[in-house]
Amino acid sequence: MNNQYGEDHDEATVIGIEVPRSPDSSYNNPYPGSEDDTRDPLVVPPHLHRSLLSYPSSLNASGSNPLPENVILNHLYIENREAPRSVVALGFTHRFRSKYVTVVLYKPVPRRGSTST
Amino acid sequence: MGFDRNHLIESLRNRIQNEGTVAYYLLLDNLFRVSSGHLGAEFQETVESGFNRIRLNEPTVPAVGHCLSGYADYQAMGLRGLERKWALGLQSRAHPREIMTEVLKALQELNVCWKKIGHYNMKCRWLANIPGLNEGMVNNSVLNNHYFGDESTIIENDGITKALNVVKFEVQLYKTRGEKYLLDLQRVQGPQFLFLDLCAAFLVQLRVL
Repeated sequence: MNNQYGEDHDEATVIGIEVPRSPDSSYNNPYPGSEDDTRDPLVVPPHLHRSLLSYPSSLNASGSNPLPENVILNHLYIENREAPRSVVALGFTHRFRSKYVTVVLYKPVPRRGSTST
Repeated sequence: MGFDRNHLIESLRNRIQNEGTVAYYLLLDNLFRVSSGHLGAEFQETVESGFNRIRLNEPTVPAVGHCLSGYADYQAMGLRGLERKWALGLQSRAHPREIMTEVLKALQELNVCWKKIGHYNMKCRWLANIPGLNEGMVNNSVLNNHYFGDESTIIENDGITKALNVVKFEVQLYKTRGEKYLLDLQRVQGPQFLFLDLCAAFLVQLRVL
């Protein structure tokens, strides 16, 4: 164990029955063709909006957070900020064994020249 | 404003709706210009060059009507103070096919590979080049480690093979309210910060930031 880069315990694994990785060559970078134009994308499921990140921290007196819903796990959330922003905050919640960990990365925004290409 | 201070504090604490607490939240809204609704702010369309059609959510200045609906949401959620809002993914008003093309181009420029797994749904794979990671673990004197390696660094651990520097994630385009589309990114596998760092690079590549 002790893999500092993070064993993924999100997916249930049974020793001896691991799903083999799909061949790297299957990632063949197809661009959407004309046949993909027919349908509109699906409507976004409303429960996806319920990230733990939006949960008000001042609310809960007991000091613990509610459990995140399974559906939001590993989805990327971006913090709202007024433009122009100098920092971007990105976060998501994932499960590690029986615990839930929310990770947030704050990164400076690279400055652009005033004329864009 | 003529409200009894103690009574007001008591009402706020007990989340009672009266003229005092309504006035309090209206003033709070105006002071901080918080977005209305906890389901995410409407984004602002900024006047920029036509390329930049994908936007991040940004708070808008609420009109009086928004203040009231914002207060209603505060009531519902019992918010006491200013809370930063987090929005799912990225939004755009462009045509879905244009969005996907822009997205995939940006991914390609970041050396991300993908395959289609559904409608507007791609599974992506990215090999991170981490300096020093490859040395001593895999004998690849043939490969040039200064650029993106062709081999992922693999360790064997209890018979389970894990790639340390591979990030896999899914990209899915959804339709959301108001003729807008929402691009959702979900990590499938890989170190957490590598995934977030890649997402940040992706936003820069898309010229959203």
